[in-house]
Amino acid sequence: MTGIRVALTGLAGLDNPEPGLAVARALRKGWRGSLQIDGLVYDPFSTGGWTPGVADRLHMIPPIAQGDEAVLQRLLELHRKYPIDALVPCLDLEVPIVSRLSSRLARAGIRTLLPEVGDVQAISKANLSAFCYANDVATPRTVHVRDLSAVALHADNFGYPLWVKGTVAGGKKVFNREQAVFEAEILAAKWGGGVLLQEAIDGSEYMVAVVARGDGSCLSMASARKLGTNQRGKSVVGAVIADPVLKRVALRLLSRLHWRGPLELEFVRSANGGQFHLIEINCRFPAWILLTEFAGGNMPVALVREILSPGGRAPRTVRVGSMYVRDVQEMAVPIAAVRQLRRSGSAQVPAGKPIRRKKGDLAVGVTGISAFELTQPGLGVARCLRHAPEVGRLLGLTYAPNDTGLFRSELFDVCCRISVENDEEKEQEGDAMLFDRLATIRKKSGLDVVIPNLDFEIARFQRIASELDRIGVKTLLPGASARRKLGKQALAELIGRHQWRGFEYPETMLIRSRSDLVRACERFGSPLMLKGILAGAARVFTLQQALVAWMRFKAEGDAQVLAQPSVSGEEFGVGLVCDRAGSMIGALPLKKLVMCERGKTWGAIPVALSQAVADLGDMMKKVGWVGPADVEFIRDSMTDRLELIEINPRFPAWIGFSGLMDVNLPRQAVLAAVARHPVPAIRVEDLAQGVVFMRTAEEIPAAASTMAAIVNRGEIVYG
Amino acid sequence: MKTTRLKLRPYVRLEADAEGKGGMMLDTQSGTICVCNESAWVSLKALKKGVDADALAAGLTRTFDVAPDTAQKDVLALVSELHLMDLLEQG
Repeated sequence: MTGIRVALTGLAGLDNPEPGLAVARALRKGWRGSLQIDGLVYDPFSTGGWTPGVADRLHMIPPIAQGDEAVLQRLLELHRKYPIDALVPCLDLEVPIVSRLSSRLARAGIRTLLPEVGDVQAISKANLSAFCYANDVATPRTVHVRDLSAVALHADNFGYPLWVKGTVAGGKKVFNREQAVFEAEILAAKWGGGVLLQEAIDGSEYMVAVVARGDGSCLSMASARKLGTNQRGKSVVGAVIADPVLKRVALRLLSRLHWRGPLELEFVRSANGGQFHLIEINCRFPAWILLTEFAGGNMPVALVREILSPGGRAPRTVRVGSMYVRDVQEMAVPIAAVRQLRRSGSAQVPAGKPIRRKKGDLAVGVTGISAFELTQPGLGVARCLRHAPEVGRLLGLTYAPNDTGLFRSELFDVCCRISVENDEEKEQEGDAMLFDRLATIRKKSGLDVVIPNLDFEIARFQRIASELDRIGVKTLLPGASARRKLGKQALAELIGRHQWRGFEYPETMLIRSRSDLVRACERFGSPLMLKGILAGAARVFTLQQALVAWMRFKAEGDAQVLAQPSVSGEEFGVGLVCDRAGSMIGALPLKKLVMCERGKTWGAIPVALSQAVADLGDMMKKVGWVGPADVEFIRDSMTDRLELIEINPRFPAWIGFSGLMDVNLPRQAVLAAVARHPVPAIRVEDLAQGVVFMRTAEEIPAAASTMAAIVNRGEIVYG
Repeated sequence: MKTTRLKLRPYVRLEADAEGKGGMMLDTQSGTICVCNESAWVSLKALKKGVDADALAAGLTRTFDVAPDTAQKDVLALVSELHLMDLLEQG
C-alpha cells in the first residue's frame, strides 16, 4: 500500500496534549510507503501541528458547533484539493459528528472506521455508570451533578478525597468541600453540563488502547501502566504491561461495546483487593499511543491499514516493558506560515533544523531538565547551548529518575544526579554535599560552568559559588542582596522610588491574616491576584476562593502571601542576562500568544519593548544583578501601561527560543561566566521578527535501565 | 533457611544498567518496577535461572565479602519481599 494521505485532528492541547500529534508521529515513524499527513486544526496556534517532520500541511476547519454540514463541506472542499484516503478524528467531541457523516464521506472517497453515534453516547462520561451497571463492570461510584449549588452536598456525601470531573474532559482530585466547589466551577464553566463526582479508589492506574475492526472484534490491543503521574493526574511516564486479567476484562468490555475503530479504556486497580475498576472510556486514541510504536506494535498504522484494506493481518504484539516519558519540543515557526494558515485556511508545515553538536572546549552543567510537571528552563538552556560553538559537552544535572530530560541522549552527553537538603537547619551540610557532588562530577566528567535553573537552587548555588570557582567551576548568579531588592516584596518600593518610564508595579498588600485578606478583597475587588512569597500565584474571584488559595500556599510553606489587583491584558516576558558588572549583555523580549492552563508560555513572538528593556537594564545595574533573569509584564488593557509582575533569578522556561534566534542568552551567560568576550548584543529593535516560538509535548522512548543507572550510580553517560 | 528451589516468575524481566552491576526489575504483568543495587542484582540474576536460598547466600558471601549471617539475612529479606510481590515460584 503506497502513496496515501491521512487527515487527522487533535494537534493542540499544550501541556495536556491532544492525541493527534502522537497519532501523526506514530504514522510517520511506522508507515511503510509514501505518506502525506494533513492536520485539521481549529486554531492556527495549534502548536503540535507545526512540529517539523510530522504533518505535511495544516488546514483550518470550522468549530464543530457550526454543525455537521459546515464540517462536511470543509472536508469535501479539502478533499477536492488534497484527496484524503483516511480520516482519523482524534478528539472525543468530533467522533459522533464524523461518525454521522461517515457514509457521505465514504461516497466521496474519504474512509473512516468509527463507532455508531449511539454506541459513543452509551459510554459518555455521564452515561458510563449506567453502562457499567447494565454490563456488570466494576466502576467507582459516580454521580452527575448538573446544579453546581448541589456540589457541596454530594461531595460531603461521598467523603474525601474524590474526583471532580468535567462532562467531556478534565478532572481534579479534591480533598475538601471548598476545593470540590472551586474545581467544579472551573470544570463546569469549561465543558458545560455540570460536573461528575467520582469516588477516588486508592490504587494504581492502567490504560488500554484498542483498535476494533468493523465487526467489533479486536484488531490490536496494548495495555500500559501509569508509572509517573503529574499533579494534574496525567500520565507522564508509562510502560507496556501484559496482565492477563486486565486483558480479559478489556476484551469482555469490548464485546459489549459494539465498537469500531480506536478506543481507550482507563482503569484503576484497587490497592485493596486488586480488582480493576473502569474509570473512563475515551472514543479515540490516547495521547500515549506513540508507545505502541516504541513497543513494535504501531496501532495508528494498524488502524489506517484496517480503514484502507479491512480484514488485514493484526500488527505484532507490543513488547512488554517498553516505556515512554512525555517531554517537550520547541521550535521557531515562520510567522508567514501561521499567517497563511489563518488567511487562506491551509499552509505547508516548514521543515526544522536538527541540533548539531559543536566541538567547543567547555563542559557546561545545566539543572532543571524536566517537563514532568511544568517545563523547566534547563531543557531550553541546554538546547541553546547545543548551538553555542564554545560548548563541547553538556551535562544534565538531575534530581529524580523520572526527570524527562534524562532520556534526551541527543541533548546531553552525561546526566548526573545531584541532591538537595530541604531542611533549613541543615543548610551548611546541604551546601557541602552539593559542592562535593559537583566536585566529583568535575573530576569524572569535566565541568567548567554550571547554570542552575530552578528558583529554589539559586541561593544555594550562589552560596557555594566562590568555592566552586576555586576548583574551576564558574557560575554567573545574582547575589542575595540583588535578589532581595528585586524580590516580590521589595519591588514595589524600588519601582516607586525610581519612577521608570517603561513600566509600573501594581499596588500590593502583604497578607498575614484572614482579616488582611478580607481587606484586600474589599480594596482590590474581583478578580484578586494572590502570590506566594516563594512561588506560585492564584487568580480568585471570591473571598471563599481566596481562602482556599491561601490554604494551598500555606500548605506549600508560604505563610504570607501578596495580594494585588488582577491586571488583565496582553502578557510579555523578557529573558535577560547581566555580566559580573551588572551590565545587561543580552535581552529577548516577547509577547506571549499561547499560554497553557497553568499560565506558562507555549507560543510567543519577539517584540521590541525598547523602553522597558532599557529601564530593566538600568534597574539591574542599580541593584548589581549578575546572571540571568526572567521578567514578566502585563500591559494593562485599561491604562495601556506595562505592569511589572515579577522577576525570577533564572532563565525563563521559553529560553530555548533565544537559541533559535540571533540572541543566544545562555551562550552569553557561559561566556560571561568564564570571562570571555560576549557576543555583541543585538538591539531589541533589530531582533528577527519573522518567527513565532512554539512548544509542544512529545513522547520519547525511556528505559528502565536509565532510571536504574541514575538511582544506583548517579549518572548515565551518552556521549 | 529453607532449601527449596526458588525462581523468578517468567513474566519478571531484569534490565541491566550500562555497567551491568545493577539494574531494574520489571514485573511485566503489573508494571511494577524496582531499582536494584549490585548485591540485589547478583541475587536476582541467580533467581532468574533458579536457585535455592543457601546458594544465594553463598553467592553473596563469595562476591561481596560479607559474613554468612549477614548474607543469609539479606537473602531472607529479598526473598520475603519477592514473595510479597508474588514474583517467586517454588519447586
